[in-house]
Amino acid sequence: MNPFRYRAADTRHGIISDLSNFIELFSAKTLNIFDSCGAVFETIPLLLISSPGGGKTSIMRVFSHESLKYICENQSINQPLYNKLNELGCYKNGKPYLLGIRLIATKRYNDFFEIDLKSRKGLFYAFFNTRVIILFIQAIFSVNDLNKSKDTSKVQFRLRKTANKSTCDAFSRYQASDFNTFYKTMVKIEENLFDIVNDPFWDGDPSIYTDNEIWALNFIFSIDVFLNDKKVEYLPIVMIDDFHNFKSQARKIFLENISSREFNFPFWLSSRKSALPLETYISEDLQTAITKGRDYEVLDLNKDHKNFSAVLLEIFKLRISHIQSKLPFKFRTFNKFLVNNNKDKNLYVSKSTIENIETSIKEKFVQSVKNIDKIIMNYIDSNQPNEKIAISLIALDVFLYRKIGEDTLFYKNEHGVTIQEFQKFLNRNDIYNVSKLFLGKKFRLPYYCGIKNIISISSNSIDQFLNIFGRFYEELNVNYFIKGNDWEPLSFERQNNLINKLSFEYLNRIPKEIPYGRYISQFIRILLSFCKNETYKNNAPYAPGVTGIAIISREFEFLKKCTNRKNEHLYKIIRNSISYNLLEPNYITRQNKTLIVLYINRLLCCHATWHLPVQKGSYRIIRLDNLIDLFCSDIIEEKNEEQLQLW
Amino acid sequence: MVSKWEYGVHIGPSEYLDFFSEIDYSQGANRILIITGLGWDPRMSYSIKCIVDTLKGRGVEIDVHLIRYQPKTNFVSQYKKYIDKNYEETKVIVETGQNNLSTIDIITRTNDNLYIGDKNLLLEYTKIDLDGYDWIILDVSSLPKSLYLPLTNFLITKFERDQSKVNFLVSVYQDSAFDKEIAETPDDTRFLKGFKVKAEKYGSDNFPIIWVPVLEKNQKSNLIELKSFINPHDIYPVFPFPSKNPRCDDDILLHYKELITNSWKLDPMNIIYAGEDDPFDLYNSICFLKKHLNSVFHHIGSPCIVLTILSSKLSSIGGVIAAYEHELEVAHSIGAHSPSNIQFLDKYFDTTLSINDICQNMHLLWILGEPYHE
Repeated sequence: MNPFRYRAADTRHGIISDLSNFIELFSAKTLNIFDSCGAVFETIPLLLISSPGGGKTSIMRVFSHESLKYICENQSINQPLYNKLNELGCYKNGKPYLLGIRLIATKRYNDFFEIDLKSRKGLFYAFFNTRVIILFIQAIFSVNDLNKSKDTSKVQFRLRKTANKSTCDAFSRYQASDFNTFYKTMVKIEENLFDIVNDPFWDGDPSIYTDNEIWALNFIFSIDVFLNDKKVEYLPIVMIDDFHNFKSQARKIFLENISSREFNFPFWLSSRKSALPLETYISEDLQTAITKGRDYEVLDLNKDHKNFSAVLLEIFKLRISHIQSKLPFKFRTFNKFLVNNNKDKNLYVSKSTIENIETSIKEKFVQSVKNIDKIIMNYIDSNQPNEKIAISLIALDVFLYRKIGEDTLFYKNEHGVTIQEFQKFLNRNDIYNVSKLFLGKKFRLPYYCGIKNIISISSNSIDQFLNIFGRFYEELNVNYFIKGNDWEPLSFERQNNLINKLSFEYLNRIPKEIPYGRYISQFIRILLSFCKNETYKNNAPYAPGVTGIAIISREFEFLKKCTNRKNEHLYKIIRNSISYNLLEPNYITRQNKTLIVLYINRLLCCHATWHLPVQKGSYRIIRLDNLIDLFCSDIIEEKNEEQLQLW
Repeated sequence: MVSKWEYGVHIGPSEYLDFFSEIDYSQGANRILIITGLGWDPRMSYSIKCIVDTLKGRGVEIDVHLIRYQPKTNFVSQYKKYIDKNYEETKVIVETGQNNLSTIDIITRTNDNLYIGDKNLLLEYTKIDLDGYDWIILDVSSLPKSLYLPLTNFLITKFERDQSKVNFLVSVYQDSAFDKEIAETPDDTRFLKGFKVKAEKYGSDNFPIIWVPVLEKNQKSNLIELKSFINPHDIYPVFPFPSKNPRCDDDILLHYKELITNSWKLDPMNIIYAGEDDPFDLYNSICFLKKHLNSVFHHIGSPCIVLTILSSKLSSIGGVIAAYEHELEVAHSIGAHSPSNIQFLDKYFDTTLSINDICQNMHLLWILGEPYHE
């Protein structure tokens, strides 16, 4: 039983299908992302976007009526979660107030657009309307512990005076005042609509089932629900999960409603990034006529949230504590899980490694630059751990290359290099990090290890984080199985090897799992090779290393128009790469130019072939023509050194 | 009560040619329709070749429907030369004698790249008049599952509803080595059209959703997508046993060990075995499962069983007839098919097989007709 392999989407089978497990394992800190978007249940739509495995379904599931009810009745299972939800306004007077209706958008809805009928859109509306109403009714029953077959007479819908025309028409057309008839009618219409699209022998008239518009959303906000003649207080929120499954015509309907401010009630959409135009989730602007913050909100779950480390730590603790009682060995804290103590840190840098570095520097510089010996001995004779000495010496190597690059007369400087000058250089974070990177690469020492790096490698994806720890957990299990009570925690070396392996597997999965994957895989490999070339220059000009490229926004706008096959090809590659979190887009302005910076997923950077830094490093600007020439040639070679030189 | 295909008729390779040659066509039962797919797969013409050659001079009228499926009109495939080769070869074979060749054009993708091949194929066949044929043979050797599974179900439904006396058979050229060379990059996971729908309805009463994946190797990402899509309450995987490789089921179990132990948390008692090349064994296994689950859940209602058939084409027919009889849903990961490399395809096209060679791998499954008339 690997606690890191549970998935929130498994609502019927598996550990997480049990609501108590799901609630127990849900980190309340995840909901801190809502702190940035004002009142969560405002009457403006909220778009939750992320790549697959970003946490959209988990969040929506927590706000569903079943979960809210369960959490309220079993607060002790996850008190922080209850407190946070209460703070967000989900409860009133100790009872659930928010009525979360979660509708999963499947491709079935798209079938209606393929029907050879003028009013095919009307069938889509009808299908959506009936399903929202059925879910709403089921939510009412569930929250009030009613029985669908016995208690229908206890429930009554009454139209509010503020109801608009479409709501009044629907209320009357479907006899909503008689609850039982209303529910049965909705169920029957849903059945017939399924037959229309699925049964090739269906020979009825589809036009009689059409609706003119989406009336169900306004409907549920325009009626009062009475239970045994007593009004029920609630705030409905409709959440459409997996909105990307709708085809473009269907998505357009909802986005147009958003832009025309038709939705004046809490309404959420969750979507993978591929569903939205690339520029939409980069710039978070749906339409020029509406304003983010005033007319809608967007939460990008992949974006760099300050909260992210805290969330991951808490998820880790929750997952481990879930099975701690069954574990034959104890995982007390995050640190202990990885390395039992800090002694290991010194073990992997041997004296011979330091000697090698020392020899290399002396061979290159001792004849030409004064004071080198003195500086080297200053660090070797210090009482610092071997790792720090080695890093310092690597940094000295970089420093000297830079000095020579800056001033060709540097060799003639009588004073050579001073310790103070070099120490100031060494104290820079980027220099320290790039030196550590070079050390790991040149001497095959563990680099991808330790808590901080693993959180970085997760690339703002909870799913990626869980995958990494899932593998670590399995390794530890095997460790214990073989060695029994002599089991050892995962050494830095082993962590590094596992991460390399995960990176390798991730890259190999791209052609199989991602649309257009074959080309994306080639694109990513070439990008990685380019970043490696730029990173591992002797003077490390782009410390802590290059992990991305930047395209001028103006050029990207041109690419988006797909004026020819090559543009289209490259646009598809970039769009799909972003959608599946292989590239992380950032908008920045530099020297009056707006750039779209595309950072490569950190886990891909950990591949042994390229060995790039785990931090969000530097980037290099690339002109669009060069990009197109390189990636859109008929035969793309994985290591095309000649073409890389063109940049 | 005996299931309809409990004693289904499976005509093996050694009997394939004899089967057609021994039929008495003199009593007027002499109109045959062969339905096959037109693509780059060299197997598309094998059954036509065998049947036309065997029935030469017997006064039999053979019509052939070539299902030409492409993502959009005027699409030019990168495998055009193989498609054209197949077409020309088939044309030559068919048009000698009193035989007719028609092409059924099917568009398989919308502008949004959503798959509509199954829907369009079924729609096309609702308009085609299949009366007047004595024998209808659906050759699935070169058709993708997303097309032939719904088509098989459709034809059975149609003939049963019309109480037709037609003899409906499914022909398969079984070549696992070739099948393994076909790469499929799935991009659309959903229920196939034409099968019963229950799992997706919100208005239906609560019932358990049981997923029955018929397993084959190298389908991990499909299985992950499918499980996420179907979201079942329980899983009953089908492993191939007996099989040519006696360790095949163990190999598959090891291949998916991580999935089975971590994601599925599979109860070993849920594992079902069905003969690798025995579609009727698969059929019987599924029928037995259905019966068992009905008895377990009879207090709360019949469970919804969702089939996913990832196994060979031959055994997949057992799945589709079970789906027809017990109104099961069929979920599939649909994607574009392409050969893993051109050299292997060239090798197949460069090798000319004799009728006897072809028949070493030809199977015929008699689905409707004389053996089943009461």
